[in-house]
Parts: sequence; C-alpha cells; structure tokens
Amino acid sequence: MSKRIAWLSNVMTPSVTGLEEDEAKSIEVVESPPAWMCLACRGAKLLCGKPRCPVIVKAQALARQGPSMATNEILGSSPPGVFVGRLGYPKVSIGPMVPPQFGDTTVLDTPEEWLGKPIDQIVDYRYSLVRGNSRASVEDAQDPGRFLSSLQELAMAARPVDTELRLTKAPRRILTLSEDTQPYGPSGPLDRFKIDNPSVDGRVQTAYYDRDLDAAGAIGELYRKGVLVTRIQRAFSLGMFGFGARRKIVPTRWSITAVDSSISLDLVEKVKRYPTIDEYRVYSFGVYDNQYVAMLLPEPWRFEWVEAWFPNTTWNQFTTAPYMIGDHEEYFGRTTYARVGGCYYSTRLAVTEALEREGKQAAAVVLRETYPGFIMPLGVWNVRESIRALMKQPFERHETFGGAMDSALSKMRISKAKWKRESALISRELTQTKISAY
Amino acid sequence: MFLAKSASTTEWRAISAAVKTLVEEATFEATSEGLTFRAMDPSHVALVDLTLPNSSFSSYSCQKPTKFSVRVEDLVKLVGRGDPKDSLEIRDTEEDSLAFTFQNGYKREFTIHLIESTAASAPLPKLELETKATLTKSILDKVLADMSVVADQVTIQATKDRLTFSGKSDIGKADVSLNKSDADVLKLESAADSKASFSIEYIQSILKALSSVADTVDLAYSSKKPLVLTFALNSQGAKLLFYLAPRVSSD
Repeated sequence: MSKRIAWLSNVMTPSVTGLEEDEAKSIEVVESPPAWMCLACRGAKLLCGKPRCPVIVKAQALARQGPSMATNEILGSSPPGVFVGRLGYPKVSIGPMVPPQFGDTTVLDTPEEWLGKPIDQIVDYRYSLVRGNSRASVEDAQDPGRFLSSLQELAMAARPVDTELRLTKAPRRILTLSEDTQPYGPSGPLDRFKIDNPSVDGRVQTAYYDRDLDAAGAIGELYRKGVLVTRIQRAFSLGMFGFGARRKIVPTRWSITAVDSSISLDLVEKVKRYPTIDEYRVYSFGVYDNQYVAMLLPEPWRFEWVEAWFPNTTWNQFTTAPYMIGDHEEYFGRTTYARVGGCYYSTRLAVTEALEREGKQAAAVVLRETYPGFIMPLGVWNVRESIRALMKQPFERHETFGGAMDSALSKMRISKAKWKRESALISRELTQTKISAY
Repeated sequence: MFLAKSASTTEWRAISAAVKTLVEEATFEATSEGLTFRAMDPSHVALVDLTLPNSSFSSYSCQKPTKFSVRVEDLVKLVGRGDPKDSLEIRDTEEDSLAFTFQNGYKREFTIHLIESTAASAPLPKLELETKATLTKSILDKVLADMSVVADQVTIQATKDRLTFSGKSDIGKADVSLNKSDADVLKLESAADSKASFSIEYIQSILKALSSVADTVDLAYSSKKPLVLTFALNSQGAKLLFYLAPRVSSD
C-alpha cells in the first residue's frame, strides 16, 4: 500500500521545484516503492539512473499551474474529459475533468495529438485537468440519473464544453513518487457541475441511443466512422454502449484496453481475408528514448509483442540486465489476457490498422527497447501512437527472414542471441520447417 | 444424394474438434468409398488427413462424388448438440445445405448452409519413416505435459528398445525415457536410430481434440522428418492421420 506524506518542502528547495514553501507543503507525495533513494538523492545526484528526475518534472508542472487550482470552483472548457477510477469496483469514482481555462482545450485530453511533444508538456496537460470525484455504482449506466446523464452528454461533445465545476474543497494536489503511475492531475470531491449546451458528436450519440446494439458492434461502428479511439474509450468508460440492460461504467484504465482489443479483433478478421505481403519488411522508429522495431513476414496472420526494459527504467529498477517480457498469438487468436498487459492490445490495434489500410495480410513481430531517458510511464496511448508512427515509416524490404531479422535486431541494443531466445515467433521462424516441404 | 449415418456422435465430435485446431473452413469430399478430409493449418506446419470409409458408418450412400464446405465453428456447435448416445445422420439437401439428424427416442434435425471454399487441396507428404511405435494416449499426454514445463518443443530419440523424450530451455531441462517393455509402450520398432524435434503445442492440441475417441496412438517418424500420429476413431476403419513438420536447430 502506498504511503502519503507531506515532505516535499523539507527535501527540495523552492529553487529546484519552483514551488513556494507553503505551496510545497500542501502537496502530498505518494511514496511507493520506498523513497529512500529519492531521499538520498534529492533530485541532485540522479541515483535512479535517469537523465532527469521525474519527481522534479512533476513538481515543476504543478508549480506552473500556480494558484489557479487553489480554489474549489474551477471554471473552464472541458476538452471534454471524464474519468472513471478503478478503486472500490463495482463502486467507483467518476467525474468530469476541467482545466481552469477557457478556449480550445481539445489537446489536453486528446492523446492522438501528443506523440513527440516534450514530456513536460504532456505532464502539464495532465496536471491542468482538475477532476471532480463522485461515487457511482457501475450498474448506474443501465438507467443513468441526472449526474451520470450530464457526464455522458459531456463525453459525447464534439468540441470543448464550458463547464462550471464546484468541489466541496480545493483540489488535492498529489505528486506520485511511484514509478509506475502516469501523471494525473489534481482532484477533489465533487459538489456539483454544470455544462453549457454541448454540440454533440452525432456518431457517438447514435450509438448511445441504440440500446439494441452490442458494445463491440458500437465500438466497431464508431471506429469505422472515423471517431478517435480515445473518444470511443471515453464514452465506453461511462457505459454508453451496448444492450441497454447490460450497460456498465468501466474504469478508464480497463476501458482503454477493452476498446483497443475490440477494434483490433475486428481488424484481424478483415486482415485475414487479404493476400499476404510479398516480402519481408522491417520498420523502425524511436521516440522518448524508446526504440521500436517491427518485422512483417509474408505469412498468415500471427502477432507478437515483446518489450525490454533497461535497468533504471520504470519496470526495472533493481537489476543490471534488461527485463524482457512478451506474448504472442496464433492465427486463431488468443483466449487469455496477454501477460504484458494493455500495450499488447494497443500494438495489435496499430499493426492491424496499418495492414488493413494496405489491404494486406502478414505475420507481425513487434519489439520495444526502453532506455533510462524514458523517465516516467506516459500511458498506453504512448505505445499506440508510437506503433502507429512506426508503421507509417518507410520500410526496408528483404528477400529472406534471416536478412530481415539481422537488420531488425541490429537496430536494437540487446544482443541478437537474446532476442532470438526471447521472441517465440523469431525462434520458431528459425527452426520450424513446413509440412508442404516434404 | 449423400447420406452417412453413425450410431453415435462421438466420432463427429472428435472430428470437428480436430478440424478446428487447423482451419476455419473445412471441405469434406464424399465418394462411394467414403468420406475424406485433408487440410494444412495456415502456417503449413501441420496436416490432417481423415478417412472415413463407407464401412465405418452404420449406413452410407453417395451416388456421385461431391464436396461439402462448412464453417468449422458452425460444425463444432452443431455436432456439440448431440449426446454421445444419439445416432447421427448427415445427408445433403437440395438447397446447398447439409442436414444433421440426431435420434435417440425422439428426432432432432438441423440444417447448415454450405459455403463456397477456395481452399486448395493439400498434397500428402511422401515419407518413409524408420521408427514406429504405439503408445497409450495417457502416457503421451503425460510426457508432453512434463516437457512443456521447461520447453515449447520436444526432442524424440528412438533406439531399438527405448524411446526418449527431452525438452530444454533457459529454464532447465526435462527427460522421460520409455522402454519397449513398459506397459504403456504397445509397440516399438526402429529400423535406424531416429532423432527429431517437434512443437509441443501442436501435438497437445490434436491430442486434446481427440481425447474422447482413441486410447492409443501410433507414432511414426525419422531423423529430420515429420512426425505422423495415427488415431483410430472407431473399430470400423475410421482414422485420422496427423502430420507435423519437425523443428530444426537454428545454429
């Protein structure tokens, strides 16, 4: 369990964090895992091995928000944004996200526009949205009351919506020291909120009012009509799709993977009907101190995602060798949750999207190396958008699998031998013969 | 006119489960001799060759050679509706469909629409295999489960009187040795020492699909050649051959 302490002001001076002393005291630091390393370091020695201190990056982002947050009344244009927590499921906290500013705030909650922006800016986007929390039961979506209905209306909006958010007290600003959480902004218990008449996205609205269409059908329909994946996720999380009597509110974090998974399953079925590509292909792309490589093989659909976390990165704090984890699926798909988690499904979405665009089928092996310059996890969107960018790069053509593999693995820092052992599809491709050869 | 009647649904349940491990659409070929099916999986690693001679049915007729293509998922669901004790009659109907009639006291009839299939027929590998063995299915299940703890492929080594299974990976290694005299080894003949490696997952999925029919399995292979597993689906000559391409060393 994480511990909350208020020690930031005792450890770091205002000249480092940019926070006034009183302000710094009001910030709670969530400490998990233990903060001994940070205490010994104080942001000066970079003991964690990262090129920049993630705590300072977050503290500075809080400082930039300034006093506009120190009030229980937030007036601004919601991008639109909503949030559903997962703690306490099936009783969860839900609410709108509103920045203390008016105007075109769309980008604040549109991860599709974020890739390549400096990490500080993305942290700023996150921290600028104040969350008002209210409790709801996930089944409330079957017959939404006034509060949930107006949240749903907000989630349907095509453009930012002027919103008045009143909290029972000024929002708590929490700085999470833990390495494994993406930055999230200030929040407080919701008193009430009011939205101006939003102009709704007709496509989302149609799916919302169709209580005889199952959720997967609604998601697929909206994706085909060009609604952004994160917009579909937002509405899905508020239980806005599916058979009326089965609708449920879904925690944001789960809804992201549910939607990635659902859309990519549809795309896999389409891709399986296309002819295979004619060559072996290698794609590569780097961003935020991550290296991504994809190999496409002229074979029926199969998919693998393997990630390697270098020492001193989020998921690998205490060892000296890269930590590798991956999962794969065969032509007929998988029935269990991929052990790597959400990134697997975001990657499958981005890869099948590229194949569908081209009208081709292929077997895909996608690899990621994460280096210490990736100072904090940014969210699953980062993988989705990175792989989308990866699949839009010009690719190398190779005649043989061996040639493609050598080229792909030479772009990585981990040895070829290790990748060959770790990737089930690479090792299989190298060893498995075909029955048609006998 | 095509008609094939079986006294029980057991074979069809096993057949449809086995076909499902390989393809999404299946084409069966019927002649006066009987019913056959042959296909490779999408990666062309495994091949199933199924033969149901007319004598393996309680009644059978086929006036002219015909092909039936079905969605395997539909077939599995439909056949799954039968109880083991039901008899099952399959016949073609006029409107490009197959009718399935289950009977055990009262009668239940289903029809499924046939689909257009573009699948090309797969040629059978030509093989002379040097090692032949018959094992109980339970021992093969157990050995593969042992191997899968450490590896995803199994290496089978055969000498005149011993069959050795081994697997290894970064995790560690596993070895199981069966002697010709063991109760679970019903037959072992090896014209030359043989050694080859195969994917465990492929073998396990066909064994699982056929778990309710055969108690024993015939195994044949040679060094660097495919593995052929033969399952008897009933005592009237219905059988399924499973061909699996070997894995070779990557160095």
